[in-house]
Amino acid sequence: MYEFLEHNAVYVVMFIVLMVWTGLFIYLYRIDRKIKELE
Amino acid sequence: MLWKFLLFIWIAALSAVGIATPIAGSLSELRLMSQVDAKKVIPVKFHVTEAGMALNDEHGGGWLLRGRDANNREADIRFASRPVDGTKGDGLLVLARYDGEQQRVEVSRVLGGYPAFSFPYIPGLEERAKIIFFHVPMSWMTVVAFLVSMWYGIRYLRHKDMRDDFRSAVSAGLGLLFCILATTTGSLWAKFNWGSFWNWDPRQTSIFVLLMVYGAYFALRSAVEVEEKRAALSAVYSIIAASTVPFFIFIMPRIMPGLHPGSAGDVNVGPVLSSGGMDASMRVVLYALLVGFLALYIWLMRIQMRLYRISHTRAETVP
Repeated sequence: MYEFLEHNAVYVVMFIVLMVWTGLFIYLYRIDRKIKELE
Repeated sequence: MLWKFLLFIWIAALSAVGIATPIAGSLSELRLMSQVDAKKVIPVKFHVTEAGMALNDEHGGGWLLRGRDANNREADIRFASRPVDGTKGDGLLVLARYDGEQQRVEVSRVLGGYPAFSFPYIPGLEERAKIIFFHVPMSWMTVVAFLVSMWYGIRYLRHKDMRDDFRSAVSAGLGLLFCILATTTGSLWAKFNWGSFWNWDPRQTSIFVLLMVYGAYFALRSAVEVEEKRAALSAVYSIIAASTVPFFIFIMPRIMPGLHPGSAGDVNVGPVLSSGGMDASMRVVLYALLVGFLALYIWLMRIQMRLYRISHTRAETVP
């Protein structure tokens, strides 16, 4: 896995983008939970 | 509604451009790289100037043609077999190395036609250079969010409006989110570029301290139960905390030697953006994505404010 990523560095960038989306998704999920509490 | 849809398209399309745009070097860069590492294979784009001829086995076999890059540098280029788009005027993007003995470029794989839009080849970074489109906006949004948090902290102290306290806290929370994302994305990248997830580079150290400073902000908020007291304390704290941001982000990493571009003693590029060390095509994508993330931040702030408003009108109407 490590070697594959070392030679196909564009996948490292894709993982980084996934990380950003995951972070934003978690934030959105927390807002969603707050709304549910209000409902 | 429309602008949210457009924002999604904007960020998604630019992310795709940032990831999918090919990296392409020139023939002169390939020659330079071969002096460092004779086996180094890099992507190169060029136009065919002479369709060439078949080589006999004495000369290594395959097909030889002549190509010219964007800087008008010419070179002999050998393919294992005759390329499909190898007539005069055609453009090619290939993976190749430079053979110093034979004085010619050895193609190992044809990637496609001449790309109209490509990012430059940066030795040592290559495809990993594309992290800049996602990592740098995260850290810039961190700065923006923390400064906005300070701004609303000041406003709270002047007008004693609880909405400002809420805005200040939400912005600090978003700043912390962006700060964590900048740290984790950078850390994963560092594993592949610098060999370790964490190197205590000055910029890594300073963002770590920043995470601590704003982690403490939320510890402070959860520790005080009286609303007004909590608001006043955290407003003062956010002002002090934000005043450290410029030092940790802009000053300390530049006066100390380190791994990030723009550290003291960095002879290659200096601060990537302000020194003009960055390619124009990459700069456009970076700024455009930065605008996208800024709009996303504003959207998230507004959603939180609407939530606040709803919960407070509820509290007033429900006995």
